[in-house]
Amino acid sequence: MDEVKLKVFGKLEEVMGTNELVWSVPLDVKTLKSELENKFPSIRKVQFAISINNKIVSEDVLIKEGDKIALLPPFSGG
Amino acid sequence: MDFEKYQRQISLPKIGVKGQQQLLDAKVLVVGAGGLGCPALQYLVAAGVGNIGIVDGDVVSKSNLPRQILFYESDLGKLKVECAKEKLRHLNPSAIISIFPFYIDNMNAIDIIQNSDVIVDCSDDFATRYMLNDACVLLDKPLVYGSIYGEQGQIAVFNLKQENIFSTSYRDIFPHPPVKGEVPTCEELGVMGVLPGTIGVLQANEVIKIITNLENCLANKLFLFNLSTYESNTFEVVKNSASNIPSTIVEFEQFDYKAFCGEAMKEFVI
Repeated sequence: MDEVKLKVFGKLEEVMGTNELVWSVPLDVKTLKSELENKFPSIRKVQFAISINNKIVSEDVLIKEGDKIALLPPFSGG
Repeated sequence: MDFEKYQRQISLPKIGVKGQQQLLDAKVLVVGAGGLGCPALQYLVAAGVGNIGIVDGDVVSKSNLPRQILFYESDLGKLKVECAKEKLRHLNPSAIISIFPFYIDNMNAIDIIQNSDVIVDCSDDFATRYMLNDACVLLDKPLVYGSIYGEQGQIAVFNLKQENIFSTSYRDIFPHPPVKGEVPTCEELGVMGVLPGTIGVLQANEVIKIITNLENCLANKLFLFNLSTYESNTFEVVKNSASNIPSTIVEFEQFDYKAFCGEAMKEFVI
């Protein structure tokens, strides 16, 4: 197993071509970001917040098996 | 108080006469009279919010009509704030409606915002969103944020004072703005009017909760709603040390929000 679930919102859905994916447990948020950037190079240009188990993280934290992760880009439309 | 008019609201135990009086006494500023602003304004004025300010420098265009439901074909080319005031005056003649027929920016924001109790962000660009956020933090005003993308909407309550502590702000979620052109606008991406309709109404709901001190408002939270799947997610927001808000009004007025939101921000990486 050793997996985490990623939910993808907004523009990132189009950039990554999916709104949900399963990912091998990364060490921490920083590692996850760089792994995602390797697989989806165009997300480097996108600003987004990351949440773990529905809590938006403001710094690098460890990730564990089963964590629910969301990638949250800002919206501007009104 | 017009008991007959507000009977259904007064009957709610959580509102009562006291809550209705709070609504009648409240001063709410809505920034942007577009897809989000129109429904938010209609529900706030209908609910009895006594003082409403509307800021928007735009005129009504044909492509606005499918979602900006305060405007009619006969309004094309007229200032949105004037058309909105006219419709809202018929909806609730006792509401005092102030209009600001220009765009809000960091040079006029303090004057426009300072007399309001609650600010509603119904704007449609990042420079305005960051600027409004910072102005509300500097002036200790709660800000009800709403924004849309495709079939998705985001809502949050920022900078609400609860037990002497201010809740998180927009910059705690998004300390760094996207690069210009990174996030497509509604013009580029398209939008169905019911999405801003839904999100704007929920913003009005948050304003009502704040004014009447109801619990469960979206302070320290970011709510996401998908109009296609009806999936909703609520995320907890915590303070972010990367949030960098101008510390004085002078600094705020000198900050170039357009440049901040228009240039590549490659040096900022989490």
